[in-house]
Amino acid sequence: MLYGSTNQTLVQAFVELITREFEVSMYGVLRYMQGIQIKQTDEGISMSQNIYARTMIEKFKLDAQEIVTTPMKISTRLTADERGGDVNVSMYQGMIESLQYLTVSRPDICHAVNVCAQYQVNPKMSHLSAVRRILKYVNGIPTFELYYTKDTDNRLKGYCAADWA
Amino acid sequence: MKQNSQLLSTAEAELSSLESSSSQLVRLKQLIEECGMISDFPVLYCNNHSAIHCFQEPARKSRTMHIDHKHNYIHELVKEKLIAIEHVGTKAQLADVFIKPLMSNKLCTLRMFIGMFEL
Repeated sequence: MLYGSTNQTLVQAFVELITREFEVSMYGVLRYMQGIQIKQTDEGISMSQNIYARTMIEKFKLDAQEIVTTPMKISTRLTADERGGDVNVSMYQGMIESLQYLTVSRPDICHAVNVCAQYQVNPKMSHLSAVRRILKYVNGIPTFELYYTKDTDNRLKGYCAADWA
Repeated sequence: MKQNSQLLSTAEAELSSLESSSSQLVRLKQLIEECGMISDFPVLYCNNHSAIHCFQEPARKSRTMHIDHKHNYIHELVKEKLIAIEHVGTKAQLADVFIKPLMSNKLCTLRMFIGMFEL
């Protein structure tokens, strides 16, 4: 179970309450959860999935030399590609599943994974090569962290863009 | 997100995305306030000048008559100062990471802006 608060006295009260009621052991500050490594310092909180990314790369058997710098080619336009060669559906879906979990700490692959995930039902060779490219991109830099600093102001900022027209 | 209507121009497309993102921003602001934090009114950045011009009083109405009335929602938010809409250059448009494939140098700068750092 995870708990957190901006108020230390509330945390103390909660801990007292829960230890009185149930038999629990405390592990202290959160460091690792569901494959996500978490570092909490005075300056901020950082999240990374380095170990997860490495095991994923090993699972899909990528060589260390297979590296690209972007998750998707600018010229790539995926279509249903009905004439393309079939690929193993469960393997393709497994790759998408692993990559989708990686988007928790890697928003840079969000778009590419999303596009590839749209062809999960009937994947073809062209889709598989797009997915392989994302894996190669992750292979290039598997050690990334998402860093939330404490010194940000409390104004919400939204960015909006469209590629619909 | 899925496109749910045919749009005639890029400005109209941007308007449509402004509409959906502004409603999300308003919800997020409410969530923050529910958590007991104070937050200023949110700013929404858009890189399309013509979409922003649609919210400036005199330019409105005459040439945007054909655009669906659902966009009045943002107009109301802007008028009541619940949200501000500002222009941002394409170089600092952080949303680009999430909507299209990028060149590697642009990807590098944008992913740094959204808080991703190499270890």
